[in-house]
Amino acid sequence: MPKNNTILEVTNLNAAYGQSKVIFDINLNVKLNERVAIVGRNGAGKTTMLKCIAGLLKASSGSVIYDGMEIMGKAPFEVAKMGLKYIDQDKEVFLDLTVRENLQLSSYATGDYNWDRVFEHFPKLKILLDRKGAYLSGGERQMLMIGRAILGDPKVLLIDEPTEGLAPSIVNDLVTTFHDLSKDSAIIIVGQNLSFVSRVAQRIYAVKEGRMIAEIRDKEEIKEATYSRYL
Amino acid sequence: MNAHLIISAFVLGLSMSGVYFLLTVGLSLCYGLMRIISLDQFLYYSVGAYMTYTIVAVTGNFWLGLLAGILTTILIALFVEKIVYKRIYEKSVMFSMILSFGVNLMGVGLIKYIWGLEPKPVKAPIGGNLNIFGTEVPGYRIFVILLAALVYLAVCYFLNKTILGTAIRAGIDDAEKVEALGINIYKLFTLTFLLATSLSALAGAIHTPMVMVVPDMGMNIIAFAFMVVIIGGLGSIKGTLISSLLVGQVVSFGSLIWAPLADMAPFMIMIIILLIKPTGLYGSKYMKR
Repeated sequence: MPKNNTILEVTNLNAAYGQSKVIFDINLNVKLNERVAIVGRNGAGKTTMLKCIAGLLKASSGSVIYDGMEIMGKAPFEVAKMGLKYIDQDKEVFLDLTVRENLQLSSYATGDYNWDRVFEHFPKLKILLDRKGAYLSGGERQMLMIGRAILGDPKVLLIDEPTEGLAPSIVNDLVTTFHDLSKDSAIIIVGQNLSFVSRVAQRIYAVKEGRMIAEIRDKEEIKEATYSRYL
Repeated sequence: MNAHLIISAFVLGLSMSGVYFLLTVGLSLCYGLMRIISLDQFLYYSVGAYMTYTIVAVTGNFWLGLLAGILTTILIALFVEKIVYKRIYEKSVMFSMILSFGVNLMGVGLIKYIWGLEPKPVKAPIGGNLNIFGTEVPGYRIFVILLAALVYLAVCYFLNKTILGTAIRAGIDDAEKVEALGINIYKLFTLTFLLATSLSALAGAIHTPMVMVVPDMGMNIIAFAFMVVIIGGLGSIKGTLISSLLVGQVVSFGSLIWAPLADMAPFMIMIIILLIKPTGLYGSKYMKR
């Protein structure tokens, strides 16, 4: 069990694209089963932050401790195998593969071939097993991306802009889903949909121009979305 | 042009298609998954041919030569992948083109040093002719056609029915997402590269009884191989097969009608197809550039 129930601790994380520095000395932490949101405007560095944590982008300096272990410099597949999964914002599953093949790949990667939990959260996927990714709606793709990610019982899910391009009814369903998922995993969502963030997050980090400018813990402030003043 | 000539040209075209397919399917997969243009595949094609020639000369056993050709190229390819490709997978495709062409040139130089410049003949392991509608065609050409068809079915089975094949198909779509699932994409890269290499060596080995083995045999086939890959669509096995069949027949019938047409016609077809469908016949619309 990690110290203070902290499953993920990011310290002084810096990253750059070539000469252009994108995030500056980011510090954040997430506890087991906690739902945390990172909010900020377009280009604030939110996605860069998640990708650095997941190992998909190389950070220039800093430390990422996951489950008591330093994971900076580890390959993305190693980070994912350890149980820290990243879900991209583009809603793109493997378009040429069926839902079944998409899930099989995740099972192969994690060794978890029990799909009951996936179908428990997303029963619709069971009906769509033989449909190719290219023919799924945005909401169905999001279900499949999350479904793939929760195989192997990850301890942390990093979810980038989960509501982008989705119908309001699906966004409402996602609120319930994220509450349910957090019983097994900590969740970090990056988002600009403040009403969604307010309904999901227990704690919020506000990011501006690559810097963490505020940490919001006050339940009332989260509920009323008054943290928007930081954006 | 009589019926015998047409049947002969058709069978010759099919056997050439078989060689083109074996040589290009790996090129197509390498680009599809790793986004590399692996020009060193033409070296493995030549090494496959030379090893076959050498073993046949020593033991008289063609099949042993074919196996030795494949195994030797796998060893060379493992070295090349570790020394060259692992350093440039993340870089622009131009790096792979230039470096693999360098590997190819170095390899051809070594071949010239080891085996000399004079052409080497290899006797077909399958003699005799088959009678097809009254026309005698060499049995070895039919063998090449059947072998290529078998390899096509095996590659399709591997890609569509096995989990590693599924992972390769997913990687052709988006390699980063495969990694984010927890799959070591570099192991898939190595596997695909070795598969491509084995098929290139196989192409070189089975081509030996149909051509003279010369140091530049890989260089001589580059243009046709690239036409096959581009016409079929990068990353598509079905497209590679269809365009191999097309180019094989065009070259065979072209040379029958007017010799220069054998070189010109495939280019003309490639230009027309690219004008109509820039991704090639079966190029994936999902493939990310």
